[in-house]
Amino acid sequence: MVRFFARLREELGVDEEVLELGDGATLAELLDLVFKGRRPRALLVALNNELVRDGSIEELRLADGDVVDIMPPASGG
Amino acid sequence: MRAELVERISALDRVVEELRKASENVGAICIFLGVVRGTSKGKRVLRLEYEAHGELAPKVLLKLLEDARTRYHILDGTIEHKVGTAGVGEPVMCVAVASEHRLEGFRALMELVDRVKQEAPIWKKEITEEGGRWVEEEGPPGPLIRLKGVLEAEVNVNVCARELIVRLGLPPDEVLVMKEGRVVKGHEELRKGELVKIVPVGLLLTGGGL
Repeated sequence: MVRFFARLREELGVDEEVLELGDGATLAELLDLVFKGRRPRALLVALNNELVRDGSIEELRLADGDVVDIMPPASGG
Repeated sequence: MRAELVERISALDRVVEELRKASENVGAICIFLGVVRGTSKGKRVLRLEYEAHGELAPKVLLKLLEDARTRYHILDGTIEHKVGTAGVGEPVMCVAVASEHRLEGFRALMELVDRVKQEAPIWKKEITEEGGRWVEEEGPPGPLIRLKGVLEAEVNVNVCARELIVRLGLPPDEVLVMKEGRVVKGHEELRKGELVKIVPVGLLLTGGGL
């Protein structure tokens, strides 16, 4: 399942959706699918409630039932 | 250490009381209270709307406090961040640290406030008379310099090694102080007139330039 937050939720018009990917798909492939190949430069991404470092996005492989959170850059305070 | 998303920021005396009790070594409590400003880029602000990742944000905030404990040896710390709608003048973020001395408290507080704004999955929407927009910050500024080689210096005040690094504005986990060929411990006092070397940790590991 993919969940969207704040500006991204409003822009994409969806809170969450379930996506089907091929076996061994990476997080990068999921982001490319969501953003139709035009992935924003600055994103926060979490996998199962753990933040993912930018460098891991290309390699991290997803499993059935994973929850991916896609978030805009932080702007609290 | 306490990090929470809240609908209303706690009264400061409660926060102070909580931190004062952390240890009998507490000698300073530094607090930052962020408040909704009434104007933004010349427009009148009506309100801010805060959204956060409910499970992840408290974990990230707690990790920032743990980092501050490692880097600046703070004794305790609290972060509260508001979620929901906030009117002009309302407190929306409280960051507070207890430390032995004021300096590590000031430094830890400055870094924590920056990191909360840049790293915690919390977002704000600014509603002005002209409508609403999600605010997004620029990237992190980082330290003013990164030390690439050994810095040789004469100490000009009596100061402990950790305070020397902090007062120079260098990241405490990236550099070490050496004296007479050995690494000086953080709490060790340096005396006016002593010669020291300030060494990037990476350089010490490779032995380059020493």
